[in-house]
Amino acid sequence: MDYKLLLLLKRAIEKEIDLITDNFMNKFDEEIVAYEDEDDPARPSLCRDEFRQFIKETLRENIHIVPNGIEIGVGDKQKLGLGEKLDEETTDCLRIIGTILQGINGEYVLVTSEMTGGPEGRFGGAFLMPVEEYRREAPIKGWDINRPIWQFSNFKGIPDFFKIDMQKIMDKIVKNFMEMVAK
Amino acid sequence: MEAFRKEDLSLHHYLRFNVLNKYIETDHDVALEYLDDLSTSGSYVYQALSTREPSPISLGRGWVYLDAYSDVVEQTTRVSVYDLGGAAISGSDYMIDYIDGRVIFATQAIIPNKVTYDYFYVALVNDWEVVETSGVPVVVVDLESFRKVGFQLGGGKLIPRRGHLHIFATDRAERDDLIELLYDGINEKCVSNQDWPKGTMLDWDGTFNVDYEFKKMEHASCLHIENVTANILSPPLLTRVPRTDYRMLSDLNRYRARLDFDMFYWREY
Repeated sequence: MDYKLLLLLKRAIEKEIDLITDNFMNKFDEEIVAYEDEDDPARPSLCRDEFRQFIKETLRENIHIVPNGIEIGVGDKQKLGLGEKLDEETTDCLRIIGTILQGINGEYVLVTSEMTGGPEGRFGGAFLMPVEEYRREAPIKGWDINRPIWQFSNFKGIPDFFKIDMQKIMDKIVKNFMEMVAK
Repeated sequence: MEAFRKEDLSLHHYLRFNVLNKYIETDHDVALEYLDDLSTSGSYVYQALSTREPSPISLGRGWVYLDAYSDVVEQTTRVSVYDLGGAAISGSDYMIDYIDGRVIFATQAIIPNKVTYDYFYVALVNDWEVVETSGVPVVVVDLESFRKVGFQLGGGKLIPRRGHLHIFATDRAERDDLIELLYDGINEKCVSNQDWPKGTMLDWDGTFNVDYEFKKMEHASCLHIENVTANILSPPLLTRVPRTDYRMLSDLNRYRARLDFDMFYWREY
């Protein structure tokens, strides 16, 4: 395909980043938020805005022209820990969501940066402790001994989270593209 | 038994005897203990007292009941029972409970002393929640929802399913070996789509089902497996545990991996 046309197609896709992001966020609401504990001060819905921003930013960074087409990527494996390496500058929210996407077997309590007094903001520090161990350590650390078991314990993950049906989005992108070509 | 269950069983059977057969181990000269409370007149039960970890009879493991994948008769080379003098007892003198690791005699005239048997070292289960009780290494088979798609021309259906194998290993080397073995074992392979007309190989009490038949589904193709991808997993909430304060927290989730795949077959009705 002609490079100029590919450039137009790239722009047509970039125009729909919000729409693509919304599709992922619908999945986030249906497959993650729907299962959270409403009373948990570290529930995933509180990470919604940050995750939306993360999806949007990574989409924007990962639309590339390749020979005869456009390649679209989303997410950041290292920030979500989807692999062996974890970006140390990831956030608590991305750690929590990355762990939910991978699933975790066993019963755990979520220890957040707020509880440990560890660094917050862009430097995540949340971690999971097996429930028995948490109950032993909580009095020493001054944590709430009755903190509930993390709702996503024994959760088998959402391996296909980043696979979405692109058909409707493609219709919109093709329309944008045709309009751009007509101009 | 519905098609979905049959496919699940077919995949299990294939993985057990065609892929994970490399992880069949032998437990030698294990002492047998008479179980008075489970024995009745004409049925004398002996339990193998294995010291192996993970236990050969933990969930998803058990003794090996076939000599080879497509066999329809009970194994003859996998289990040997010996009397007090160390002589082998004929297999026709006892039954085997392959799930609980027991041998059952009809008479007290023969006193068994030890048993040597092959067992499945890697647990193979369906339920995510039971992984902890099995102990690593474990492979969880997870077949997802499906849709049946009619062909554009003619009758018949294409039945695709999305599947995952979740691997929980003891260490990095074992995890890497299991990923590669399972990947090579299923990628671009065609698994026999069995009909299971007389049930599975084992009865409810763990003994061999003598009626078992290896019969393929009629008017259906084998189970094709494609688009296999391997992923190493390290849940990020487990990677930053302050090690000065706590021992390493989760051996179970520490060496994990997942294979994602598509499985499909055609049916003529």
